[in-house]
Amino acid sequence: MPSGDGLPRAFPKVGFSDPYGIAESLLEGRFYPVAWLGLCLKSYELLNEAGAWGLVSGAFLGSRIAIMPHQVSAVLKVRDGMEGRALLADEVGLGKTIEACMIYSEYALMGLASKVLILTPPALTRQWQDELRTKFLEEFTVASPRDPEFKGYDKHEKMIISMDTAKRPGAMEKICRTRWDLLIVDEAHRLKNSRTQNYKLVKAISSRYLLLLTATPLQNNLVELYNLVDLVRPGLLGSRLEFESRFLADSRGRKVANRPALQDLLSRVMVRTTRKETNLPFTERFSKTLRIQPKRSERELYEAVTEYVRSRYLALPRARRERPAADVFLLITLQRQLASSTPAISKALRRRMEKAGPGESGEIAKLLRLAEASGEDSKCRAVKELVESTPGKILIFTTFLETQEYVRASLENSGTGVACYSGAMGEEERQKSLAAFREGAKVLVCTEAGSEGMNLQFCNVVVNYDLPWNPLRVEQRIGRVHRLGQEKDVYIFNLTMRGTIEDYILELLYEKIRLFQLTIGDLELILGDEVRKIEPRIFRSFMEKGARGAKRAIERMGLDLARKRDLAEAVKKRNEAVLEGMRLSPLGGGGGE
Amino acid sequence: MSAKVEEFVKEYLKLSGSEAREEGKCLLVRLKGEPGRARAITFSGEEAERRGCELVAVGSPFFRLVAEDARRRGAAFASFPKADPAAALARIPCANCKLELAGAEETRRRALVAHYLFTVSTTKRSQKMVEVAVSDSGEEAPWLYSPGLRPADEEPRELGKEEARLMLERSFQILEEKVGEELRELSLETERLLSEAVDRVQSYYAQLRDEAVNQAEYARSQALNAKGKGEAFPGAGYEEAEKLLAEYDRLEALDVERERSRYQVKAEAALAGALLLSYSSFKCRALLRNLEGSASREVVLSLLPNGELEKPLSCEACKMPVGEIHLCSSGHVVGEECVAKKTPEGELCALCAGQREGPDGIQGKRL
Repeated sequence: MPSGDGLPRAFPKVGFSDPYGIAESLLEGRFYPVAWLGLCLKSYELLNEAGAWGLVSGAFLGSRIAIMPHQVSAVLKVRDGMEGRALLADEVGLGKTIEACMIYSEYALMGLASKVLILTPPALTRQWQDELRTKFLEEFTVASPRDPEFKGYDKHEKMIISMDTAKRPGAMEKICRTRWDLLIVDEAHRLKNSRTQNYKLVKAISSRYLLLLTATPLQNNLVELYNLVDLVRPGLLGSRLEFESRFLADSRGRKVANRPALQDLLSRVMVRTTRKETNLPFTERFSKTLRIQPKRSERELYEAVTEYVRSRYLALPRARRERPAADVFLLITLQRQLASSTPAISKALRRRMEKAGPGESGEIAKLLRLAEASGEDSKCRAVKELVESTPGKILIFTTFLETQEYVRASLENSGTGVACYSGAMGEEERQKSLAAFREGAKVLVCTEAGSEGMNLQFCNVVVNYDLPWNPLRVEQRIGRVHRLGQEKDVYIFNLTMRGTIEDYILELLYEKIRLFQLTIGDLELILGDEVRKIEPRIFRSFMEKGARGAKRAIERMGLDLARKRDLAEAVKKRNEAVLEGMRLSPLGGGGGE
Repeated sequence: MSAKVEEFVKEYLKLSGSEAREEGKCLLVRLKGEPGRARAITFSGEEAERRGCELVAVGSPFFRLVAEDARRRGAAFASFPKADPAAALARIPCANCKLELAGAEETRRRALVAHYLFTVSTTKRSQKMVEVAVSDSGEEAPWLYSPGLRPADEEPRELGKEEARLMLERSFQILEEKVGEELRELSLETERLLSEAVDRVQSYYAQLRDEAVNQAEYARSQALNAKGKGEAFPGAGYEEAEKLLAEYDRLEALDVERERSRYQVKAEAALAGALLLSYSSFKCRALLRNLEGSASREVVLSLLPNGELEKPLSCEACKMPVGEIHLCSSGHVVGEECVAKKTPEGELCALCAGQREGPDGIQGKRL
C-alpha cells in the first residue's frame, strides 16, 4: 500500500496489512451486506475490551480452569509492569505453569506472541503439551526428531522442547537463529550456574518476552538468583562482584545484606507468592494400602505369565535389553496388564496369540486357560467393599481400558452408579460422563490417558486400582482431586496383590519418599530426569534377578529418591529463609515499576 | 462481556443462515459451513461446567471461528437515499430572509469509509479502530462519521475500481496523518526507555570490564613479583581476563541489539472493513430574499444525502461558516458576528461598513 509522500518522518512508518483480503474484495467487487461489516467490526471491538479480571483471555480461561486471584495478579503484573520478562517464583503448588500459560494466552490474543518456545526438563514436555491442549486449547509441537509430526527445530511456531534436545548440535543453532516472541523456561533453577550449557543456551536464545519458572530460585547461594535475574534483565543487579559486595552478608551467599534495596530491584522482575499470602485452603493427603492376598489361581496365573514374560525378555539380545527398545516396553506393558486385571491380561494374551508361532501359541493358550479359571479378581471384590463402605464420590483409576470396563461392570452389577472417562472417548462423551459423575454417579472409573485437565475438586477419594511404576503418574492421578481449590482432605487407597512387583514399588519406593503425603508440586522438585528410567530399571532387575533382585533395586531407588526429597526440603527452606519478608507477591502490592 | 459475545454470535448465526435452537441456557447450533456437525454452545461459564456445553467467550475456539468468518466479510457496498433538496433548504436557519429552491442538479458520487485496526507495539501494545471517510474528490468526508447515517445495501451498478483504489490509498494517507502525533509521542517515550535500557546494559558491561581489567592488573603484578623472585607464575589470570574482555564486547553488542529490537515502535494498520458508498449530491441554486424584499441573492449550495451542505455557506465578510444566514439590504450574505456594526449612518453589515469606511466610500445601506 503506497503511503509515502517522500517527506522525512520523525516517527515510524505505518505498515499496511490486509489479513482478511478486504482490499481485494473491495477492488474485485466482492461485497457483503452492510450488516456483515457491522459484525466484522464488532468482532474486533470485543477483542479489545478487557474481559474478566482485566484479562483479554479472562472470560474464556475462567470457564476452563479455576483461576486464583494470585494468578490473575501475577499475569497483570508481568504483562503491564514487567514488559513480559519475569521470574515466576511462586511457592510449589500455586500454579506457575498456569500463570505462564495465561501470560502466553494474553499475548497470543493480543497478537504479540505467535512464535513461542517452551524449554522444559525432558520428563515434562508432554505434561506441558497436555496442559496447553486441555486447558488452553492450544496445540504445541513437542520437538522430537523421532516424531513424524515434527518438521524441524525452526519449522514450528509453537514448540516445546526439552533442554537436552535443545542443546544438541543442529538444534541449538536453529533455535538460537530464530527470533521468538516468547520463551518460557520451566524448572529454571537448572540455570543457576552461568557456566553450564543450560544457562548458555537460554542466554543465546533471543526472545521479546521471557518467563523463567521456578519455586526455588536459589538452591545454595544468592548468586544463583543473580544469574536468573541476569537472564531476565541483564545488568539490573549490576555485575556479579557488585552484587556480591552489595547484597551478600556471608561468604556462603545464604544471607542477604541490604534487604530493602534487593527487594526493590527484584520486585521489578520477580513474582513470588507464598501459600500464606493466598489464604487458600491447602488440605492434607492420607493414604491407605489394601494389600490383598491373592487366591491360589491368581498366584498361579501371575507366576506363569511372569515366567512367560521373562523368557521372552531373556531371549532378546543384550543390547536391546540394555537400551530398552519397543519390544521391551511391550513386555513391560504385559507385566503391568497382568497386575492390573485378568481381563486386561487375557486380552493382551489373545492379541499376542494372533501373531505367535505354533510353539508360542500353545504356551499362550495355557496361560489363557489359567486366566479363565481364575474367577473374579480379588482386587475387584475388595474395591466393591471399599465403595460400599466409603461415603461420597470416589474416583477410581485404572491403567487399561479392559480393567476400566471390568470394574465398571462389577460395580454396576452390585448396584453402584458408575460413570467412565477415558482418552478413547470423544470430547462430548467425556463431558457427559463428567456431568453424570458430578450430578449422580457415585464412582468415576477413569484411565490416566483421559484424565489430564479434569477438575474434580468436588471429590476427595482416589482409588488406585492398579499402580503405575512411575511416581509422576501417581502424582498426576492424585492431582486430579488434590489441587488448588480442594477444600477437604484427600484420601488415597492403593490396591495391590501381595508378592507382585507393584507391591514392592509401593512399599520400597513410594512409601520411602512418602509419595502419598507430599504437598502439591513437591514431587517435581524431587524427581530429576531419572524418572524416565524408573520403569525399565525396575523391569530389568525383575526379569534378570527375580523378585529379590527387583526388591533390592527398588529399595536403592527409594533411598536415592528419599535423599533427593530431603535435599529438596532443605532447598525449599533456604528459599523461604532468604526471600522471607520480601514483598514480591502481586497480591500484597509489593514494589514494582 | 458475555452478553455482548452472545449478541455477536447470535447475530452471526442469523446473518450466516446457520441453524440455532435454544435449549435452556444452551444453544444447539449447526453452522451453515458445517452442516454435518452439531454443537452445543453456551455463553455461561457455569452452564458450560454443569452441562458440558462448549463455552463461547472471547478467545474460545468457537468465537475465533465465527469472528474469523465475519472478518472476511468486511467489504460492503451501499447507497444513501436521495435528499429532498426543497426540504433540506427549508431546514437551513435564516434570520431575516427566506431561502427558496431555484433548481437542483443531481450528481452521483462515491465515497469510502475505511476501518483500520491500528496497532502500535513496543514491549506493550495498544490497538484501536480508526475510521477514515474519504470522498471521490480525495478529501476527508467528515459528514460520513455522523452516527445517524443509515446507508442501504445496494448492488454496485459499476465498480469504479480505479476510483475505489485511489480512495483507499487516500484513506491510508489520512490515517497516517491522524495517528502521526500519537506515534511521535510514543516514539519519544520508547527512545527514552531504550536509552535507559542501553545505559543499564552498557554500564553493566563497563563494570564487568573494569573488574576484568583489575583482575588482569592483579595477575600481571603477581607475575612480575614471581618473576622478580625467580618463581614460576602461570599468568593464566591475565589471559583469562583478556578473553573475558573480548567476550564482554560480544555479549554487550548482543544485549544492546536485543534491547533495541525490544524497544522498537511498530505501527501497523490492518484494513478491517471497507464500505464503498454511492450517493447523490445536489448542486442547488437557491434564491435568498430578505423579508423586507429589499434585497435578493442567488447562491449555489451542494447538498449531501444527510440533508446537510457539503460546505456550509460562508460569511462574505469574515469567511467563517454561517450559522444563521443574514442578508443585508445590499445583498451581502453574512453571519451573526458580522451582522451589525455601528457607523455614523446607523448599523450596517460588516461588509457595507467596510466599504463605507474605505477610500472609495460608497453609501452603505442600512440593514
